[in-house]
Amino acid sequence: MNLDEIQQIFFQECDEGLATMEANFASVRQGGHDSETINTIFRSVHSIKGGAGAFGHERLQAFTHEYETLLDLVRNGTLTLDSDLLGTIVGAFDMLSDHVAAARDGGDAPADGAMLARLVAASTPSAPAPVAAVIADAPAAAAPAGDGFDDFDDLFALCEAPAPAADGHSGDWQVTFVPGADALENGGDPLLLVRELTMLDGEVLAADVSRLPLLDDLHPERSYLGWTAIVPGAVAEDDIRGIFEFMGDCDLTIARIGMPPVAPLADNDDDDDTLLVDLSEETPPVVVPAPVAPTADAPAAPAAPAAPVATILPADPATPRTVAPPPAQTIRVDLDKLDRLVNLVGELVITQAMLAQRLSEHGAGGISELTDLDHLTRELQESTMAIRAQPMKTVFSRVPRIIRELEVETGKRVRLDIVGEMTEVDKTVVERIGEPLTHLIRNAVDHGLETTAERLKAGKPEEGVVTLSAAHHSGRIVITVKDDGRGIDRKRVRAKAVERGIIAHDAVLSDEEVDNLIFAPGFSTAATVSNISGRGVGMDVVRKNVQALGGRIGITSNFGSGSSFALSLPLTLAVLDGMIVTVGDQTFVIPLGHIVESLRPEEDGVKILGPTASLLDVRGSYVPVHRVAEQLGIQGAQTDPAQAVLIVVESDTGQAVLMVDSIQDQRQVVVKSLEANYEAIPGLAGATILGDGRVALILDVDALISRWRRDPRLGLTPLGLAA
Amino acid sequence: MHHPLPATLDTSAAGPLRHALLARVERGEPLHLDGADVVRAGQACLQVLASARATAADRGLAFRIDHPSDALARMMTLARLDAALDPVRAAGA
Repeated sequence: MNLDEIQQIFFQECDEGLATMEANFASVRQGGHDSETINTIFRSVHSIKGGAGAFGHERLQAFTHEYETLLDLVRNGTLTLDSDLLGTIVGAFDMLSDHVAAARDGGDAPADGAMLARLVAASTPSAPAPVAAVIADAPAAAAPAGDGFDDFDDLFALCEAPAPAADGHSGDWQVTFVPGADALENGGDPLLLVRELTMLDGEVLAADVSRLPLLDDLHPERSYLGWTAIVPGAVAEDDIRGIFEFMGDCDLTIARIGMPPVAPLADNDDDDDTLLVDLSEETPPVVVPAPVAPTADAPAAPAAPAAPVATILPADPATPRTVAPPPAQTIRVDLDKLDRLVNLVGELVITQAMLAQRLSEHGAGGISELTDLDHLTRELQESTMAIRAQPMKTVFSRVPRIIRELEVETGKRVRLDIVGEMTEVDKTVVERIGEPLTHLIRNAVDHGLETTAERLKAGKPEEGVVTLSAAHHSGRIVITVKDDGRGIDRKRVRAKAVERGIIAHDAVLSDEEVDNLIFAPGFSTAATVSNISGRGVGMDVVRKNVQALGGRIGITSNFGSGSSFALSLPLTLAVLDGMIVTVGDQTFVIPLGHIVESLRPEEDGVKILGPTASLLDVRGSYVPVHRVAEQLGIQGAQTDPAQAVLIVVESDTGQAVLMVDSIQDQRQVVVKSLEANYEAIPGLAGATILGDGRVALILDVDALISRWRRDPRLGLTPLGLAA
Repeated sequence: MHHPLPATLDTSAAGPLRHALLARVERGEPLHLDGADVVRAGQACLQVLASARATAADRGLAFRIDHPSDALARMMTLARLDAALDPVRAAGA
């Protein structure tokens, strides 16, 4: 792994740290925080600072230094977290996000002078100093690049700190580390690690120069040194490990000094596999984790939580003492590798279907091994897709900042409620939903919520509420952005649509159709184009982006009490459960999520209203029948509804019936993108490869029904039904 | 004769520094270095200096750093290389 790759991990962890901080700020604001909340925020900043130092992001490091200093005073109780201080801390968080983005994208670091001054002032409330002087005095305060700031100055300052006691005390950490030979490459300098340890109140006891060759054999840019340091026992082991996280190759040992013996887990002298472990200096065993399971002969005593249980291997005096790290809970996998796995599993599914088809042709379709293979393949596919699943939290965590900015820009007071942030969805969906979601949030605050004066006049609380929620529903994820604002003013929307030439002045529209006008290209109801939501990106683009994800967007609005925009998206874009149907000589897939039922109609179940218009009586409700063959121009298909198979589907605009010739099968199919392999075709969501090797097109039910409803020649419009 | 150390002893300075010190050692000259101008130092140069001291000791040559600047002294302390840069007397001196 090269330095760039390690740095990418650092930035990923920055994002995770920022998301963690944002989540904890929400707890603080709701008054549900405790010391661990502040500790968690502190650790996130500390971790970012460590990485920033290791990778030479000086401005980021300097900013986090001041930020961390303030947070440290809060967590140790020196400062009380009141609303002013919280405002400073949250403001600094936003700036920290900008610093991280600048470091990652190679852009200019944000102008953080004022915020640094606020941080420094907040850190020294009892003796406020002139801002300029404070900044100049702060050892790692951000000075402009080339203005005297450099890492070494920072290191020097730290050298002046009084050294702690030379010997570690019982319970302190002994940290021994030998950076890899390439640690000096790419501008790296392990002395930064030494510096970081001193910032944890650690003391470097000795440098190990045993690997240092004489000048003849010395490679000047290869690292040969190692160090042993003592860090106070109060420091969390994770914080120490965090320093070395981005070091790449580094031989690191962290051990407690004089750890007291561990209570036995089982009172069984014969049990040689689980022994007490003494990590004191006198017994330097090599320790590896061992599973602890009670046996019939040796019932387990309650485990001692703080002490590691270990198996002792034969001690080798020459072997350095090593404490086994805790078992890894997660690993990072390159996304390309994961995508390749997903593709391979997709191909496996197709091959499995082909095999089933071939065996079926030879009368062996019912063998149990095939069923087992089917189950295993499906399980493998689901497990693989689950690896790609990410919580919506990664997207939702950006929203509080957007809200804060909007509060400043609009002068409105907004409370954000988030529900279901741990709902998981495929990574691709997570990555691509951010932009439309951001627009909906901005729209909700800018257009949805009233001004404070308007709200008070309407008898509403001063503070508007935007609720962002995510939930799984019928195999899809539904993300809702809801506000308690003014709701859609349909008269105004309609007038604007007429003015813009989107609809005729005498057009008869249902409330739902009027609401949906806001998705029309070029539509904007803002009296003046604001710089918030009127950025030239209309709601039509939002809908287009959502549709590109295989999703749909619906509106519910009550004038005076608010609006709700619901995005319904597939959990994954890679596979779907579908019904395989034939129309003429073509095979299509109808996504199962849309299908309510399928039936062959009774003789009098279909009411013929014209050459192309008919209705199906579905238990007393008349539902328009749409002929897939006519819409897609397929010859030779069944034209008599009474002889066809009718599939009742649920679409954005209500129930409808699709008329097909026959149903072949119901199975999971691997979605192949039409856009990527051919081009987008209205009414089709993609394609798949069937077991016999043929390509089947996947119907985009919503788009098809929507087209039919707009084109009365192809079916019955709601108005037609009303007539 | 004193060998002045450059102001910047960063990683890129380590190669030239090693070359210069090795040339002196190979000529049998003592390593009397002057650290007064040093304003920054990193691990790469510190380990060149420590290696030079060990090399000088191995060859029976003198080694010492005169007038170490505060910056250099502090970095040596931080890296705990103070002892590894202690003066060495020439063999027989």
